[in-house]
Amino acid sequence: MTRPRPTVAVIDDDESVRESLPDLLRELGFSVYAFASAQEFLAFDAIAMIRCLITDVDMSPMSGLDLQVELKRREDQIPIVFISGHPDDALRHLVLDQGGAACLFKPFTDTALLAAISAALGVHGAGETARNGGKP
Amino acid sequence: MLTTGSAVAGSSQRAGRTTDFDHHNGLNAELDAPLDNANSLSVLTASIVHEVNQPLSGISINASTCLRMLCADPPNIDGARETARRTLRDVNRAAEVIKRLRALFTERAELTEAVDLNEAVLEVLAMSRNELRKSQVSVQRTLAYNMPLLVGDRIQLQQVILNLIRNAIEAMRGADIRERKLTIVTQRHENGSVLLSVHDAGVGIAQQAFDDVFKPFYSTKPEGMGIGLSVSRSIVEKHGGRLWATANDGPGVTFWLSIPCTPPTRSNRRLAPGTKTSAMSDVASLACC
Repeated sequence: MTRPRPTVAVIDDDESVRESLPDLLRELGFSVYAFASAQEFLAFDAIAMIRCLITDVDMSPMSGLDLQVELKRREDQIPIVFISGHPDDALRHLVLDQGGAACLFKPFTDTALLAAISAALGVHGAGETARNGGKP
Repeated sequence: MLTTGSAVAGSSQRAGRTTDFDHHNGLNAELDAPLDNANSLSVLTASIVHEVNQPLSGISINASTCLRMLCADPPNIDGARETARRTLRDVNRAAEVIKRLRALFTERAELTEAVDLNEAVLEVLAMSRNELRKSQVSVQRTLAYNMPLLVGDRIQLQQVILNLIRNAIEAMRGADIRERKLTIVTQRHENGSVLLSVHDAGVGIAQQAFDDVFKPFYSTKPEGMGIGLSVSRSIVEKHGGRLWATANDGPGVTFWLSIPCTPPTRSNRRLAPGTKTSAMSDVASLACC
């Protein structure tokens, strides 16, 4: 019996990230939903099934930081892994201070991504399903 | 033909009669226009870093996925093929970034001459006749009759005007054909500067993006078009002038270009005949002012 795949969400206004990151995440053993904006994600009716959020920081009009604030306001404790094209330590400090699970700077390795999501899910070896699952 | 003496969106000290083109937005936009020249270099560096990191990230993600798909049991050949294709596409994106960087920093001998802005506009319009016709954009031009000559690089200024016209055409691409109107106006300001505006009835710019559109590498089109607004602004500023944009009362945007015709009183450099300059050295020297 195949182990259930945790469902994660990707938010990035960059089309090529929305195209490529979900495929990698599936190889890592996750089910994935992708969104072009924070608003689109917030309007998602199955938001409750998302176990972890992977989101870009630099988005307009609602940034990754704005989204973090909004989710806090909604008392939604979904763990967030931030990804950013600006290697800004102050930014990383800020998002982690505000409760973010991780902040990766682009370009990041697949192992770094997996480690960040695993830590966020608090599950040891959450990505191990990839070995058994392969591509859905 | 427009008469002279009309107040334009040039400075908070100016008062007087307003034209149809004097928007409060324009005034505020110009006051808000970034003058932090000392930060130009770091802003540019941050842009380059970000623009290169994006395709690098795509390459990293796609290549990682490719490897995993090939190592899967059974190997996912179709998936791997797709990720390899995307990797090459991201390499091309990075190459484009380099190309645009070079366009920003390429040195060329600048020619300084007396430039008649109206003539420059007419030449650019003649050059663009085909493009305008193909895009079914109608042009209304109102060129003031007693425009002073300005001193500068005619070709560069024409590149700026062409950039504005092309952006306007692009902005109106989806509009109803009857609405595709481009309006170009030149005016003379009482302080001796000339003002050019390009007004379109297109998709407009989001309120928060009015500064962003002038940033290096900003482009809503993956291929980019011509020299881009960042370079345009740099050219205009080298002439001691300003380039900014305002939202119209109706649909679309107006781009404004003002250039002094008298020697600038601030420390902006004047172009000496035959001077070799580059956008990079300009940014660097402004950073030192």
